[in-house]
Amino acid sequence: MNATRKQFFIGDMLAIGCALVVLAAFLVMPWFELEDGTSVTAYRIVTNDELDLAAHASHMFLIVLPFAAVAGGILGLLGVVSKRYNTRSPGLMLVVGIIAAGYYYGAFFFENRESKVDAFDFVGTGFYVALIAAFGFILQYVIPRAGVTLTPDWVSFSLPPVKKASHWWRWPFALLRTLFSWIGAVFGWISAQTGRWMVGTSTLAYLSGLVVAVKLEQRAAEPLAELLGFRRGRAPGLFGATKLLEPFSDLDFSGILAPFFPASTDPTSDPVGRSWDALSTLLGNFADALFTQDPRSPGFFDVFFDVLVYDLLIYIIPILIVALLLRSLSNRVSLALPFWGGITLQLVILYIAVDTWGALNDYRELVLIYMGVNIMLSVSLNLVNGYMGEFSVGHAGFMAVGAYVSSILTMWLFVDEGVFGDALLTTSGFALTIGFLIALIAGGVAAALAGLLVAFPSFRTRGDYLAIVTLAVNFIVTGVINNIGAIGGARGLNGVPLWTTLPWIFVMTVLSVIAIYNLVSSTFGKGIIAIREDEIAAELMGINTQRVKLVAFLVSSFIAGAAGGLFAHVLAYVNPGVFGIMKSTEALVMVYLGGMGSISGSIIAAVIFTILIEAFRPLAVLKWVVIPLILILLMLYRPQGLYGFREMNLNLGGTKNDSPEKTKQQEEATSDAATD
Amino acid sequence: MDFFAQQFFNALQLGSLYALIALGYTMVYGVLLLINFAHGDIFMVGAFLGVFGSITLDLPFVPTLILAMILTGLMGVGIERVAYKPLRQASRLSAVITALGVGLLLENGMLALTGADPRSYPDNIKNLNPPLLGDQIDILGASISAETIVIIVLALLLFGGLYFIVQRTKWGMAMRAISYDKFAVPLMGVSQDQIISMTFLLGTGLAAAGGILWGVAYPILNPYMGMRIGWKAFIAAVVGGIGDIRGAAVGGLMLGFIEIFVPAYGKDIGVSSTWRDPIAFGLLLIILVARPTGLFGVARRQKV
Repeated sequence: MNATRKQFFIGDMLAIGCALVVLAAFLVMPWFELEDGTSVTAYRIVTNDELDLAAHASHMFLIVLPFAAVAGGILGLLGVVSKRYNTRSPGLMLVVGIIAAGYYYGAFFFENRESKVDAFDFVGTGFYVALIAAFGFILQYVIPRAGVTLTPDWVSFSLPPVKKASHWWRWPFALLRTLFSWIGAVFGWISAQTGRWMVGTSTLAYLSGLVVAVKLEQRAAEPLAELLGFRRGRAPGLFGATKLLEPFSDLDFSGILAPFFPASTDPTSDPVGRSWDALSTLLGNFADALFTQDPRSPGFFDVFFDVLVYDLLIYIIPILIVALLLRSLSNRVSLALPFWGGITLQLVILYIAVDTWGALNDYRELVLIYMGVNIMLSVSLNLVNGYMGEFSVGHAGFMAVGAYVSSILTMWLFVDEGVFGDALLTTSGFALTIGFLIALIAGGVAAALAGLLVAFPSFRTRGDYLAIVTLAVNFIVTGVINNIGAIGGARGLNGVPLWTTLPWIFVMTVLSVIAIYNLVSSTFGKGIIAIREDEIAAELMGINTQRVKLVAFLVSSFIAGAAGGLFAHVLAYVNPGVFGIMKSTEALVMVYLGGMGSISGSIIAAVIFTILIEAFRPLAVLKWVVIPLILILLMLYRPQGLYGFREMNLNLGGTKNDSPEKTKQQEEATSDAATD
Repeated sequence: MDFFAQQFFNALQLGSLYALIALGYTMVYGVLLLINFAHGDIFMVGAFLGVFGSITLDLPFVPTLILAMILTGLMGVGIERVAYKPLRQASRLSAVITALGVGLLLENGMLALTGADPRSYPDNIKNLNPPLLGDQIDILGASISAETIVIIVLALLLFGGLYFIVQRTKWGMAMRAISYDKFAVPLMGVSQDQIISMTFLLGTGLAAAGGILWGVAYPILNPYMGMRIGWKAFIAAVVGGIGDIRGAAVGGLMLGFIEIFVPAYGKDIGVSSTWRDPIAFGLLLIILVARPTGLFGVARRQKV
């Protein structure tokens, strides 16, 4: 610790950050709506005399906040620049923060009296912004008293050197590479800095922050979305991921090569010219999609910054603040609880967060269910591909068996007037729940039996040949289903009851992850890993390799089958085409994106991949151009995936002591462990 | 008898096409130990380049064939240089997954860049009238179209040419040497990169030929055709024993005969033509369980 340097407190950073956000809002964002539907920034209200300000007198309340934020920000910045710790500045900031928050409350109530609808629309959001800023100011004052000083040194920041091009024609690539490395450096610096502030924060604290953020979104999402100009003032579905690529949805690439490959047998006249025309139109559209400022169809950068502001205000800043506030409390709670008690508590909190998040609209709940199915798929495939070192490329086949068996059972037993006639059983309520569970288990067992088709050949065949066996099993399963007319054949099975809900998928996903985790960390699971490392040596060490392989394939295909059952009961319609080689490829992408032999990697990859799939939905065909491209680049530049053969450091059990010296040591210890 | 002969020639035609595509799989596997999952889509690109040659450039059959083979071959070499070569030292799985990605990229890229309309060849390519043969030939009571004969003969010629190259030329010797011991060959002063490029050139060129002949035999070309046919040819290569050229030919013909004869004679006992995929793949499963390295493959003994 350098004595001559000013000590930085977390409150400084938060106050400055919040002040900058509000300042940016003050200068840039359409802050106020006028009666005629146009919007105007606070900055223009302050500087422009032409506006009829008398009509908007009540809005002048709102200008106080930006000014207060500016004042607070300047104070904070002065403190940083002068490198001298001013004991009075926290107090000043506290006053500024309270004034700002108070004014917002005042504006809120004042507006509320006049018209109940308008008030919340723009004041509500601003209120939350102000609240966050005030929080920052208050923290500035409170946290130093509590003795939580964080590592005072900044992570040094330097831009990577400019890459020189070896040939003249390479300079655009060198330029791009330099640009990307600079962006990467900035992001890396920000995350390293955040990491330093957040040392020793347990997962419990982050989860609590997530709950608060989600509750905040429930209240503030719509006004903020309207303020940022999202379509119909709705909250963005998946953190705004689905909005990012919407500007590109109109691009049509098919004109570029189509003139060279005419669909009729008559040649196209002047193919080069037409192709060139298509290309130039496309480039023009692409530039439009990037830079348009039109509020009805905003360009990529427009949307990007809106989404960034939304995510920062709704998710990132609240999560970080709450996690910091609850750091020592959550650590104490985590340490007091037994291990499984802690895990259960965190799962419950996670469920509350997920449930609240998904309750906002149906689309989110659907995506959450897909996410759960994908997590089950990637974790179970990782057991075979990552831990046992085989190469299974037909995972969707087991999913198909599970999906069909369980949906046939539920439809046959519980659905009236379905494909199989009236229900055999008339049950309701709790009995239906048990029935669905039994159907899912039956689907899993049937998939495990199909897994025997792979398990028995695996005793003799290995590597590439076993990959082909799994592929063949996938084709056989879909082919056989195609040919059984009683269950719909190629037309598919319609009218599967929509029984997969969030609680179902949550519980099933958690159970499968725990099952796989326990399996691979048991003595028996060490046998699975030993087979990956060296099968012959494993056999010589006394591992019954046939039994281990059998169990691994059975467990893997059982979970895939259960996932298939859940998947069928959310689609309401299954046909064999759904479970083709594309679905298997998706599972493979998730496993290798997350990293082989890593459960946390698989889970994160499944979450990222599900969001990615939804984000690319506007691109239609291009979706399946971009996803393989990601896969290829991943293999070329990071073949081990995100977390290859290691688990994410989650700090599930809390950290013992969060005094600054200790955290520093712990940080060093963890960074050593990471480098090991 | 005429029914049998008719089906026999159909099976021979389909089987020789499968064999041509399977050769590419098997050659790449022999040299690089890499399952080139992109091969089926390279076959599709070859078929599309046939449209380019025959319609846009208005070329006759043989120049179209040669042009498509050359262009596709160059594309195969390019794919190897960009996507597979950096992974030669990495684990084999990385390369296989990359190949899977390249395949998806090719077919969906083709769809995105050319649109979804199905293509077909013009009449001068579809109705071949080779010298000395008429439109229809009667053999054993069955009337066989000239295209079928041309396809079978061309496939045999290409196959023989490849066999000659691999068995009788220095290049072929180098290929066989690399597949035997890839560490010793560079020490003998043979450029591994050149041999691998050559392998890709030959394998993908044959796939292009297969694609064009496929377009002659069957009417519709679309960007997704490579996937289904490619997987089938891959099975043929594996059944024959991947890495062995004779195996690819035998496997391809076997698959062709199963696919034609199962529906032809099975429909009397209730096995319709949609069963041919499950039956073909089931057979593959049985063969792999019985002979884990295929019909001609030799199990490499693992040293302990």
